[in-house]
Amino acid sequence: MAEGKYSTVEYSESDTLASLPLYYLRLYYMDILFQEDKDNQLYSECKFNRGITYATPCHKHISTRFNLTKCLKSKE
Amino acid sequence: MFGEKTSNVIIIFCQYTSATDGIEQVLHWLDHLQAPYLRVNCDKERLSLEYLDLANDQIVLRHNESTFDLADVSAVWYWRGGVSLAVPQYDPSSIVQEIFSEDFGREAVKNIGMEQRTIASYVFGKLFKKPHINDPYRTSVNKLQVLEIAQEIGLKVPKTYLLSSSKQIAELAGESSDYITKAAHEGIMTTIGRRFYNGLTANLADIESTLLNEKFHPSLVQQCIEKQYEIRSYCFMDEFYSMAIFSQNDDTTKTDFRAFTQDCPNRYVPYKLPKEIEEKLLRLIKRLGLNCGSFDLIYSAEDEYQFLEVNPVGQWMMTSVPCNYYLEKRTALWLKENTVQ
Repeated sequence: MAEGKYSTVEYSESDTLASLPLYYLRLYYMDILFQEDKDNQLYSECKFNRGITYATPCHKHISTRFNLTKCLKSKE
Repeated sequence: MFGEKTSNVIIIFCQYTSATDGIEQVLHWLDHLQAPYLRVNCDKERLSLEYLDLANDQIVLRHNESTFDLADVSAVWYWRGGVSLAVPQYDPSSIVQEIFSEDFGREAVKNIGMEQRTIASYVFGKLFKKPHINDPYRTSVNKLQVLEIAQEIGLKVPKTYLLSSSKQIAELAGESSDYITKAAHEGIMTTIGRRFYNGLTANLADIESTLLNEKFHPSLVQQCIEKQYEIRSYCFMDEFYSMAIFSQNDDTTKTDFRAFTQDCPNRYVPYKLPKEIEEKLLRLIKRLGLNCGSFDLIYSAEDEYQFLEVNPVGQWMMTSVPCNYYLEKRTALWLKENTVQ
């Protein structure tokens, strides 16, 4: 299966589906690629359509950004 | 706060590890606007109560190593994650048992839990009386109730059923229309290993009849509306930012545009809903007690606007980016100034 494409889950006869809501009978899945960039900053990368790759940086010290803003202000 | 007294602080509740789409962009704008903010990653950290003085209306909260006064908070943005206070956790079998019994311990833990919820509910109730975007206690709406209210307001909605047997499905199949099925709450969305599962809308005709049991879990079934195009409309502080999605011509996106492929991307264009529809959607959002929401509509082959559902917190980057609405900037400006710009 190509990455970034939705496919439907294939059930076998042995799967117990009796009590599932109907939409589960056509459940979609997509494979996701995780990787780290060259700065060793963690990125979660999902390939979607239109050839666009959304890469979301997960800042490790995001909660301290307020302090950073304050520092910059005080330097001014 | 943070070593020295600061006022006009914006509190942002979000997540650290997932659903970060939009957060970073708003934070960059807040940095640019030099608006002080505190980001609380709800999946990793929580605020805790330091002190409350009811008579003087003072509440002091702690975030990691810092404390701040609720009076210094100018605005709040709830984006994602569970909002709760950090509280001590008790194990009924190891702590209270030593004094009384395990049965007493279990009752005590339940009782202390209610104590903690009472405190949290008061503190967050006060916090969300500040100018805010979204409400952590209204992150989910009942789709069936919403459809009922939408009908009352005068919006057109597809015929909707909850079915629980293959006989009922067969009766519907005798009618001329197609039908779809989707989650009555929210479709399952989860990542197991490197595989992301998504419970999208499915056409009943695409479900293998051999998989159907005589009786099954009550399932939401709706008339499939033949569409000219879909509309995603984000309502932010009474303003609508809409986008048309031309998903009808591709078999993979015809039923649910989220099942898009690289081979045949949908076209997204800025769109203006008629004033009458916007007014009805606004009435709906007010009835639901929301101040923001992302609406899904269809413009049908019969030239009618059909309302499908509303997502209270909403994903707006998918509308903002293709349509150049700069909602991330508008959000930051609203948080700083409390006015729509």
